[in-house]
Amino acid sequence: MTLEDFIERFGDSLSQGSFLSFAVTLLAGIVASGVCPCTLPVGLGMAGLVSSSAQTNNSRQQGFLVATAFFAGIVVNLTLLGALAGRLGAILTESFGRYWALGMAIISLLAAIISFYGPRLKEKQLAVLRKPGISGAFGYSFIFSLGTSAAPLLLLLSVAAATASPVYGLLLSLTFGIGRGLPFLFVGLFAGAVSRFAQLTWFRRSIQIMSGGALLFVSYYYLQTYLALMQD
Amino acid sequence: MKTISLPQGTLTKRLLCLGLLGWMGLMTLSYRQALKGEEKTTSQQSLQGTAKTVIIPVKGMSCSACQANVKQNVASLQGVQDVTVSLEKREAKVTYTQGKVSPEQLVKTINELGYQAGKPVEAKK
Repeated sequence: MTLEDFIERFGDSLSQGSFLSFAVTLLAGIVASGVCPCTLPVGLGMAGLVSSSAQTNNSRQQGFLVATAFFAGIVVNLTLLGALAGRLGAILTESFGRYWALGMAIISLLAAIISFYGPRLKEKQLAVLRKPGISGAFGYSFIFSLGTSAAPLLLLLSVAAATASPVYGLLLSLTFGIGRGLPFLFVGLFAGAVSRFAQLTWFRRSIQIMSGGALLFVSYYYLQTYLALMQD
Repeated sequence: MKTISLPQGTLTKRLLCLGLLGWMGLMTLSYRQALKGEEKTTSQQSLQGTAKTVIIPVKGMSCSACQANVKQNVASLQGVQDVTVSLEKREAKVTYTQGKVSPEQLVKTINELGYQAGKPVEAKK
């Protein structure tokens, strides 16, 4: 089932502004994450980010905070996009997509380098990295959802346009963002829990390598996207 | 100064180098593929004369990666001269050489990627 099929099936309820319409929107966000091919690589990358952060910063809460920051980045971005619905078209152009994919490739590569190199850093350097770890996760997911969620959001807003209420559009976008981010939040929390479990075991080293590998894969995935869109 | 208790060997550095080398290798491969695609498009443009352009509605694309996926796969078909995929209009505009590839094959290729292609419509000139 495509997201279009899902929205077409429940489209009538979206223009009503009822509890059902918000439930449908939340589900649409989850479906969007399920059907978007970017979810798997970025989910892996995010799990890597959380794992490496939980390990390098040696803190129980760090993984949770990074996962939450990633989730918040998606929600805030989609709420803002909903508010600036008119700009969605500009975000869907091929040239925007091209540079967005290049940006994702570079950011993921940098995250992979930090993931590999993090455990070798001294405590003072890690203390400096700790804060950007959270804001970095927020920024990463903000950029990610900018490129991956505008198309489904535009579709959702166009179906719900019958009410012609900007506040309703904003609330729908917020709900959609929560649905879109929830799978990533769960993946992040799971990855953080696994990393904490592995703190004192030989798994630690393996997880660190897998984290960096996952981020390298994300970087390669977006590089492929960039190159494919460059062929004009 | 106190350091983190992970092994201080050169393994991390080696892994980092290996990872970077691997990534650079993949990057080179991707770039060569991209160049190949460009060469193919150029050589096929010389076959123009029996070219036809169709617009195919595509359902299920959510981001630039989907757009790139459709574009890359359709462009790789023999006889396809040019492909433009619009995420906003949710459609693919394909120029192909008649007799070398059919609209049905274009639709089949898109469907096999997991998207839903609609009925191709001839583009107005």
